[in-house]
Amino acid sequence: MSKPQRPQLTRVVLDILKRHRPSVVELGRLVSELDGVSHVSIVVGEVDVDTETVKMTIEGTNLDYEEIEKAIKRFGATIQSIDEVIYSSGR
Amino acid sequence: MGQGGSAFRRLLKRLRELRAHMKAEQVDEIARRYLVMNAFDGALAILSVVVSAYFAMGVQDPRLIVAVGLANCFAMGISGFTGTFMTERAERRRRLKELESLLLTDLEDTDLERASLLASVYVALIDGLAPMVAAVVSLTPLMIAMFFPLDMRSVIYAALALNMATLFALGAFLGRVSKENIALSGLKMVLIGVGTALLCSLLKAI
Repeated sequence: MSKPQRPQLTRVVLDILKRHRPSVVELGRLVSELDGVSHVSIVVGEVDVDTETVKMTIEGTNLDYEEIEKAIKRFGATIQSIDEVIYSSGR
Repeated sequence: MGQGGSAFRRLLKRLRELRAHMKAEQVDEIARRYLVMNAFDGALAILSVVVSAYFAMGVQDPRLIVAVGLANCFAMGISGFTGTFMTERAERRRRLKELESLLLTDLEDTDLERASLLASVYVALIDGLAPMVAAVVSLTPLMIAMFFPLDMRSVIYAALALNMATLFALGAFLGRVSKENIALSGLKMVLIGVGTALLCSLLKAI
């Protein structure tokens, strides 16, 4: 009998603070190239003189949150909050 | 090939990421400014060496002019590289600190920090190499004359012609950047060169 599959991270919604440039296109590309990611959506929210707050939705299979966090940090942006997380077993 | 290919792809991806940060910092625009400013410096400095040595002092040995010219090139290159690197580094460190307080995070070990260092080195290299290249171009006929017996007057005129061509090219480049008349912009630079040469030839009176 096969072991029941454990739920995997399939969706994360993050609130991110970043400077205007590089743009959300570069940030989206960076995250979309991570393992397991199949869909990235970014919506710009509050815009300040030097910075902007964006809502990033990442979907995929078996997402590695640590990798996502590391990539965003390396980009020079800050995760202000994790607004939604979905773990799904795909059953 | 598979492993090498994927390492190459990773490297390209990293370079693309860093390039995006450098573009955000408008590094190309700064480098372009330094390129013209310092190549102009280099061309005029070597023009003054050639004109004052030959027309004012009557130097007939090309080795002497090349030695003084190259010493000038090295000094301009070293001063350009170190001075710009330290200035750019200081400015970019300040900007990083500003960004750290705006983004409420430590930017150490991020692409922003790496791109900031890379930008300082890139701009400093442009600043250091531009005057050296501009100067070496004008010295080429004299370098050739060190190895082949050529008429010194013709060699000097060839060096001056190359120098004026360099100045014209720099002016034309500026004209293209500002989307103005390229030939007029190039001629303006040549006029400045001619003025400098005339001023230097007045040293004969000393």
